[in-house]
Amino acid sequence: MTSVADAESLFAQYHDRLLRYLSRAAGEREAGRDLTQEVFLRVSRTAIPASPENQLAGWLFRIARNVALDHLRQRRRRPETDLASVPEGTKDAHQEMAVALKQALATLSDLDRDVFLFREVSGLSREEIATACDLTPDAVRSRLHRARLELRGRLAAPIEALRQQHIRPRGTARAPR
Amino acid sequence: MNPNHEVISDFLDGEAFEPRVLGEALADPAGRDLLIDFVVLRYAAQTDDPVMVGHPPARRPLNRFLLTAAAVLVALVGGYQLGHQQSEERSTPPAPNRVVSVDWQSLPEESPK
Repeated sequence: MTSVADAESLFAQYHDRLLRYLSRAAGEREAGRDLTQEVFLRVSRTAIPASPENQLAGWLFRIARNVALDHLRQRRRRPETDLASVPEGTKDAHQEMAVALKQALATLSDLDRDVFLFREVSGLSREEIATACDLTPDAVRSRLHRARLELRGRLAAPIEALRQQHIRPRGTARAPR
Repeated sequence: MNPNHEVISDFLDGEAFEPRVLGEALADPAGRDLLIDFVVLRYAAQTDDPVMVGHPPARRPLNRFLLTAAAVLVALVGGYQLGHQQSEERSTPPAPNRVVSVDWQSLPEESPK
């Protein structure tokens, strides 16, 4: 059993990155917040392993991944938001991409989706992703590249539209923590 | 899938890569397109807030501001009215319920000790 102080400290360190991953995996921010709280509860009920930080992040995101998968299993019966739900007149290139990306992510396997989100949304290293997903770093490398190629193929039109806009990615060498 | 293009992912992920191989990948127009598309994809994944989808929040701050302003206005007007009403009530003395009259002349003299 982890002390509340230890769990809170760990949680404070990773909260934003967990929230970003869980919101994206769940497809909505509110659900992401609830799931982040669920991760906190699960962490506080277990013993935090005495590991180097990259393994600790992997351990934490493995819990987050299980929480997300449980949520998605329950939710797959419900209909998804589609492009028609975006009010007319508000469909700019960014919103088109938002909806299309959500749909494209849903077509990936759970594992490929999580590898992609851990890297691009939560900024985990390949080693951390390998720990979280029970893969080797080489397997993460291949899956990540494959997931990017698959998303690129599915999102050709919104990507082309965004290429005509000004964009400001948070970083190209390493996603922010 | 061009295996030489995996170096573009290595570069984007901040992992070790051979600059020569990256140079070869980017010498290919398809490789350059891939790099740009991956950057756009990263931007889309990082900046999209799922809660925004289908619920543009443009009016919410204004509505909240108007509601707050209305609540403050109601409180101010209500407080002024109440205070004004009470100050008017205080300016006139209350009507007596009963009147006690005392005849000072007929009171008995106090006896000396």
